[in-house]
Amino acid sequence: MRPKVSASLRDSLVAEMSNLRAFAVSLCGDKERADDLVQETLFKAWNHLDSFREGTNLKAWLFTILRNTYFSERRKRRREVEDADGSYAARLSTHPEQYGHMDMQDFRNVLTRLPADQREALILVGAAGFSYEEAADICGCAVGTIKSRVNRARNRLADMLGLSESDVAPEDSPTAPIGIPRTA
Amino acid sequence: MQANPADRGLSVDEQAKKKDRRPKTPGASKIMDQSAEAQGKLQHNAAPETNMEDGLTLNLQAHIGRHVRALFDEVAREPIPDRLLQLLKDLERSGDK
Repeated sequence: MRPKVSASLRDSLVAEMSNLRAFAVSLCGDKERADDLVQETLFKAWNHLDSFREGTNLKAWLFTILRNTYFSERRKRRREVEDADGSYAARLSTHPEQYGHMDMQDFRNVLTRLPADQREALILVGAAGFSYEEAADICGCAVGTIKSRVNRARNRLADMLGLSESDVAPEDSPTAPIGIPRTA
Repeated sequence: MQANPADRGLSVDEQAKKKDRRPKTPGASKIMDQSAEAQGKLQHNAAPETNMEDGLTLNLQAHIGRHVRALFDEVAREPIPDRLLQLLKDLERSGDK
């Protein structure tokens, strides 16, 4: 017998679907597969709604189901195709030339080359709006592990993009400072 | 754009005097305010704040953060595919039985 789902819980589920999709795409880098993941997540969530306590963090609960689904499928797949991600990364291991600035496509490319656990931590904390503590709960690891994954992810991105301080102007400052005399 | 290194050691007053050589125009004081501000930022850039644990400057961290969020939001703003909405309807129907 399926639990009767309250209208408010259903609405919250729908409201989180956009975020779930975005998370799924960032994990697997493929929209078709991401939608499969969301579909599976919804299905599982629906059938286990009795184990969810209303009023607690639905978003974190859904994200947990999705990432567990993703990583367990990935483990199965990796047994079949040996280190698919590793060989993919190796093919692309040439450093991009120094970019004057990076566009979103560059960024999307390097993001897919991060190790999955680092990418996951960076997205959860940096984009999906979870605290380090929540992200640790979702991933089933220590808070310190999440922090170090986020740090390594950022460093690796900066490294792969050849980013340095001189490429990055503070958001609110003009590129060319006004009114500073060039000659004495 | 780098400030003239010779200006680095000058006090704010001395720098202001240098700028006084420029023709006075309406709004000149505003320009001077901006330049003082820009000067402060240049000095900030010369020795950017670094998160020691991370090894990246705060500017770089923020830069990467903006891109991560932009990518995520780009997908999150897309309409939900029909097949997912349909699944939800099917699940609800099965729950009503």
